[in-house]
Amino acid sequence: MIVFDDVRKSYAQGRREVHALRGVSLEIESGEFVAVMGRSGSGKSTLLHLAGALDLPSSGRVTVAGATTSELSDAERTLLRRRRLGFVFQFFNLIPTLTVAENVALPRLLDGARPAETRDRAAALLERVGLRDRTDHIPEELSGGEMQRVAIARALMSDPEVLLADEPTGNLDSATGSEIMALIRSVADEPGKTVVMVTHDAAMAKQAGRLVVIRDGLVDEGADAPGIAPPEEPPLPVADEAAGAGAAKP
Amino acid sequence: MRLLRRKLRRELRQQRWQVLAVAAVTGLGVGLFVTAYGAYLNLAGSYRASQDRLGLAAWRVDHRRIGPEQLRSARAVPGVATAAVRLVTELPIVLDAGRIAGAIRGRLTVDGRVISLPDATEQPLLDRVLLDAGELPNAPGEVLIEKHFAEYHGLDPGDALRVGLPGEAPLTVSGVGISAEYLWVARSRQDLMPSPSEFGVLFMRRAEIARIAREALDRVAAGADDGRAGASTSGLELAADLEAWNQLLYELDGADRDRETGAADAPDDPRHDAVAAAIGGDGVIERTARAELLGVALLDADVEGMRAVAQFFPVFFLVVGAFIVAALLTRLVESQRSLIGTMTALGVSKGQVLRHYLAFSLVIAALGAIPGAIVGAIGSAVLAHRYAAELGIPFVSVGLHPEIIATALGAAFGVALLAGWMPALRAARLAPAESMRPPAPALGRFLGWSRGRLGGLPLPLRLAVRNLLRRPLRALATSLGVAAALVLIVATNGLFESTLYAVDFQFEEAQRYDVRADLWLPQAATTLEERATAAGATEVETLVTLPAQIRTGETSYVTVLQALPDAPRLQRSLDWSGRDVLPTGDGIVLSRGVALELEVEPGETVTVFVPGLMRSFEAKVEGISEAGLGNSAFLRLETAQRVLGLGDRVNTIVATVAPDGRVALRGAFAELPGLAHIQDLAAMREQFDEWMALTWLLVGIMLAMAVTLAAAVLFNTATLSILERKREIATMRALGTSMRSIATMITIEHALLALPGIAIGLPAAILVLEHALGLYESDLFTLPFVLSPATFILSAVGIVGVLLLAQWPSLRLVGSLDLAESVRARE
Repeated sequence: MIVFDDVRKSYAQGRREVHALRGVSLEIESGEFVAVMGRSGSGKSTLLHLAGALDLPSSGRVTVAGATTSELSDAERTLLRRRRLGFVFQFFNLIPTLTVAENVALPRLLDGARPAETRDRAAALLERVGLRDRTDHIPEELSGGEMQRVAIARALMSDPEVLLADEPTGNLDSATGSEIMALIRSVADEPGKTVVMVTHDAAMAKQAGRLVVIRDGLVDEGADAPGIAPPEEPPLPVADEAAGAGAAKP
Repeated sequence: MRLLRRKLRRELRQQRWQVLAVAAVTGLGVGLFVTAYGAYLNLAGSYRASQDRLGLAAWRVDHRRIGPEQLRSARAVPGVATAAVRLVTELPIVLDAGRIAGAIRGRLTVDGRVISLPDATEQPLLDRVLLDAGELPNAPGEVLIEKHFAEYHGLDPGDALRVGLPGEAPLTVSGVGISAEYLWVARSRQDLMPSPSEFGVLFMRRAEIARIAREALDRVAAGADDGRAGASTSGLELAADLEAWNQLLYELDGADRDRETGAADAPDDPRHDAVAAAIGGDGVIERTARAELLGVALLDADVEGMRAVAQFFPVFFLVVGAFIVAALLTRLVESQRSLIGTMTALGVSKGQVLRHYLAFSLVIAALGAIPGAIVGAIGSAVLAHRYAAELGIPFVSVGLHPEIIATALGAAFGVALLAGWMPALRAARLAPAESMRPPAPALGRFLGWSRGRLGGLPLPLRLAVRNLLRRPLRALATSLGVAAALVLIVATNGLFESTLYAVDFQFEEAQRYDVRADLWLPQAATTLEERATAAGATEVETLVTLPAQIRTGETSYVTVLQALPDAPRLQRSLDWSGRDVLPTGDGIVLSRGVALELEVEPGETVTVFVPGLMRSFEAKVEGISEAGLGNSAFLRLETAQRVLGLGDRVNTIVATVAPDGRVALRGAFAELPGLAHIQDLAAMREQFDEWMALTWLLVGIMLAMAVTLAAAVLFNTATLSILERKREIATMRALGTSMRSIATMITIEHALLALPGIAIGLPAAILVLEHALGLYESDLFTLPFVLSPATFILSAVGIVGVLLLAQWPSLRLVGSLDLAESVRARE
């Protein structure tokens, strides 16, 4: 579903050039639930952004759902994101001027659907995330956890094949974070759904089927997840780039 | 604190384009004020200086005849400081190589106004003439010519011209002079801008005028005159009498001049009556204060427009600039909440925070106001010099006017302080702990209101409306900025359109003829008509045209009485819509300027006195007609001929002619017996067009300023709005919104800002235009209210065009957004 082939990404930071990814090769199969971990600045978010066609590699190829992102036009990447990918961000990124229902329906509305056509699915998704009674609220009237649920519902609106979550619990307390994680987990359990989640939280990462650790811009084969103590935790299948193997869903 | 100053410098640099846009708006406001008010003061000062240095008399009395004894009596009136007499008479000037409408056309007869210079002294006591070239006429046969006339016809000292009778020996031009009374050369209240191809002013020694008049009288007596003596016999007799004059000029003691009007004394000062009595009250035709002299009044009216611009338009720029500064600073404070918290936690006092953010506002004001003031000061001097050069003002007094600069800078900084106060205060009041937390979303109370109401709108429109509702005050301010720009555009265009309409009205509706001839002595209408037709005229009309004093109660006004045939086609009396306003029976129709001066309305009765014929009669005012420039009173031809005892005679003929027959018709008119002058409408139109060229330039400048204002407002609003919503827009892009959809949404948003601006701006422009037209209205100028739908539409379209251009940078900003970085940003 997602393939990184010797991907390098560097960008300028002031007068300095930062090499965020230094030659990453990685394959994520359809239906996988992958947690990406790494220290701050390790390149894990860059990896997620490249997977989401939000950014392009400096060299190498990123293929998402069969399309090489750097070979797509801006309009084609936009369509890819709209129809095949779903995003969940750390700071929720709801559109403050839209109601909860409108935020959820946004991807379909952007695709030209009429509001009436989106109503049922948005309602069902809000039901699923437990916010059926908050349909007409605006984001500022919601708690952080509620906003993230809305964001998850929005990400699922177009029934995307891939859900990309960038530290989805990073801005929430642990109880709320667990609730959100349960939701993401439930998405990952759906057949054919691929979930890639960047997180700092080892406990959350544990729930993924596969762990990819990024260190200094490279996938660190065989590394433990930072903060995960191997003796107490069940072993997680770390990405084996050479084999290109992915772990099956637990 | 040095660190804070460095921070301020960096922030100004970071937002340099927005800062420059606001500075430009403030600079334009200050520059416009300093330029226009400075130019007004410079020009008004130059006019006054020229009038004072040339001793332009505070008062002038037109009289039938003033002798030496009467002059002595006037001088003896207690409180009279200076008194002098002069003769002013109208005589034809004949040029062998005269110029019409810019081209040399050969022999030309021009209506001349000959003003006497004293024989005993080099210069007169009052109303002196400044030599521009050559010298004053001292030898017999010499004449001094007024500068405008000399320049137009290319006359220099040593050249020759004839005055009075044909066959008269040519006079030699001794020099070219400038008269304070004729800095703006107007022939009469009905002919405010005569072409030098039709009217010129000359100065001659009194004895020389007497000589010419005596010779003319001799010819009349010998029957040799064919009627072209150029003056009525009585006028020639007065001119021939060396000890007779028809104007008294005087000044009173102890009178401080009014800085604005230049008038020295109150018109009801009892000394005026004593002067009038001293010279024979019965002979007094009119007393005129210096400020009311035609040339002076016209210059004042012209320069008043600059003062109106200075007092009115800069306010727009400063207020709009203030709104933008407030918006910029509000955003800066919001984006620096945590920084403010850190600063206060580190010990920076609330006062320092307040001053720091106020400094932002003041520095922007300084960036605009100081260059604006410098450019304005230079501009006012340049404008005054250009204007003065154009009008031939001899003594140009250009100063720096620190009070104007101080007022402009004070206003700019005051407005900037007001604009910056609220956001700066909000920053200073932020508690450190509070400021570390993210701000509550600035959604505004209207957003909640809108949630259940806009669901039916398409998504881009819904988003655009709600974005505006987030910051309703900023939206309102932007719309007001757009409205202000539109007012500038529409009102400036409207003023120009009204002027053009008035000029077209005058030349294409009220005066439909091509050539006009005025005669000193009335003649049989049929004779004149036959001669005109024989010379190729396609249509001919004859009238009676005479100077007349219209009186009501104690008020009187001198104008031209025009007696028209019952269904006039070539010289008409109209309202602004082009409908005839004609007298019936023995009634009279007055131009609006005359009616305003006399404060009379239709139905009231006025007394008409015709000094040339020493006749007076009463007439009921039957209507008010319009005239863009100048004024008249209209009678029926039959009535005028009867009450003035003219029989079937007339003294004016107007005619249309095919373009190739124009020269021949003028030639035929030049041969008419008793010809006073010929008026060629093409030459008059040329004069107007030259005058309008300067107006075009001013209109262009105002339009450029309006466009800058609109662009600055929209650019700042657009940029701020995008900067504030970077994450939102990036999120939408991440979710699959195309650039085109984002651009559409932003364009709709700006269109929604522009539309109320247009809706407010158009009616406001009408009010402003009405006010501006009112400022120009006087007895000599009346402008109709003209604003074509095309102006409305083009202005609105122009604003939309500016909008599209102004949002371009913000759309580029969206296009260059780093989605990956922006979606992760914490707002």
